[in-house]
Amino acid sequence: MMVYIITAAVVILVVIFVVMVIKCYNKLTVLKNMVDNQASQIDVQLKRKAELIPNLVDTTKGYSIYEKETLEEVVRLRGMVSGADDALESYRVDHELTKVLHYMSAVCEQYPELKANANYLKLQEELSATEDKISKARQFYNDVVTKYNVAIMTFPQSLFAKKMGFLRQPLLEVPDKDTGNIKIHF
Amino acid sequence: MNIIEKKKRRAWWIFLFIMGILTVLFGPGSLGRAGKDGLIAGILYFLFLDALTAFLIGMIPFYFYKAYLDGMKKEALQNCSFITVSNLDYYRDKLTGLRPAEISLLMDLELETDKDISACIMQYEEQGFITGCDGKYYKTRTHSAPDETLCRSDKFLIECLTLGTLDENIPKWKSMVTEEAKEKGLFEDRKTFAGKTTWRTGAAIVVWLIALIAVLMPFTCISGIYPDKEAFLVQMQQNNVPEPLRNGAGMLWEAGNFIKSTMTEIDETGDAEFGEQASGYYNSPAKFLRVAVYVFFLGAAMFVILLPVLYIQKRRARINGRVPLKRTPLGEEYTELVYGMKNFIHDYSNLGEAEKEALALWDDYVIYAVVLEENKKIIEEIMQVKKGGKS
Repeated sequence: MMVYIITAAVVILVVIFVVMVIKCYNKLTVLKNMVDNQASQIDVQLKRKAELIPNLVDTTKGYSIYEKETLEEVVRLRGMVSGADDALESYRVDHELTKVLHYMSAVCEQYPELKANANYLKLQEELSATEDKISKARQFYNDVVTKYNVAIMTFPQSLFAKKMGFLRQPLLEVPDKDTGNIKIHF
Repeated sequence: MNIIEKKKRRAWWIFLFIMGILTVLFGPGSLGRAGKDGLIAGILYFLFLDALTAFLIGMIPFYFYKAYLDGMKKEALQNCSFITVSNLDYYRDKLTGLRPAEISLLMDLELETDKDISACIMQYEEQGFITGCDGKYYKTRTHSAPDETLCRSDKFLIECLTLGTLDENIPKWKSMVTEEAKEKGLFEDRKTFAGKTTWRTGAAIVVWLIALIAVLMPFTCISGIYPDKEAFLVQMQQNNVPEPLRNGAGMLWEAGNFIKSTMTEIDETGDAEFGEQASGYYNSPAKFLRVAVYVFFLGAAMFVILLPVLYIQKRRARINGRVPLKRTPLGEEYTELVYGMKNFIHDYSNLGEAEKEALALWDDYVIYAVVLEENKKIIEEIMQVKKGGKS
């Protein structure tokens, strides 16, 4: 009789354990997919921004206000954003690209003729809206990564997360040096 | 959502379907027995019983199907979430133009004062129409949006906030919001709530009394109060019941007699036990129709007796502030988006923990979080400020 009771207890414990592992795995999988989803959102917006750049370059080319190197740098960085392996890599490269674009925008401010160009203004507006979306996507990404990281660090997920291949994800941060003046070196 | 609503409206077809099957199965036989002379009466009588039986048989699948569709609707709303291929601002773009209070109405057809006013205050502050200081609100001239973007209810609420007369004007503001939402085509009045006139109540009482008498009429035969139809009709005549009503009552007595005859066939002496009775019915499927009629009258009698209680319950709900609204198809479409936004915020952000200052970072996502019941902290914060200004 005692053997049966012990066997039953062991079986129940094993079942509870298996159910718990499955639940943890499912929960972490859902969160991981949400993280990937948000990362892809950043990627979508970055690609959209990259698509706007050739038009911007074309519009400003006629005014010959930039050095050749500036335009080459923009094209190079744009290519890196488009060709990056993952969204996070694109985001890091985009940072450099944004700095150059801000520099270009500052130069354009000195050309009233260009500032009055409807095409240029429209592109600037679209760029600004896309940058706002990138910033929102980054916020959502960070929030969902925080949720995911909290989940893998708390009990009972912390017991299995690493073994199941769920690793901590880094947050996307805006580097401090961005707040300083923009300096472009070619 | 609209597809589910459409299916719900079509659920009534279950009764027609059952009626059709019963007509095919029993119609020719019944009409054959009626003969040529009583053909019209026979058809009417058969249709009456056919409808009753279909109603009784169909009630169970009908309510199961409706419950299933309600479950589907609930599930659809819960699962409205972000689609990877969609743009990040998909829901925000779609909901542009809807006021926070309208979003709240779309969610649960109710306006919750604290939550909705907090969301409105945040939006006015974000747009630069008002600014709060020491629990008081002041109009500002820094707003980026033109005044035309404000609805009547917005202007009214801003006035109330700046003049400090909000508390006494909340019902007026709620009714303005509701009217505007109806003008936008998001809602319509529920038919059951339309009209408040006294004559409607009087008419309802008269109809209820007639219905009560009608459903109890067959029991005068079943219970043996009037075992003979002639005696029953004479009694009605003596009570000055008009002839058309007497005829109707006669038909109902017949229905009672129809049921009673089945009972007598199965239990002639009246001594049969429950098991014997059940076995009698079980072995005579043809008597199911009679049982169905009996159950119908029994159920109808109970329903009619309980009607006043249900009415009072509904009236209480109305008095307690339930908005007598119904979503239009456009409203249903927006509701889907509203729940999509709610689920998106819930799943993909920590806005539930955000404070009012997060408005600068998150823009109107925070306002959506407040109005969609994802953040209670900010509501408390705003209400605390509002109360602080009063004391």
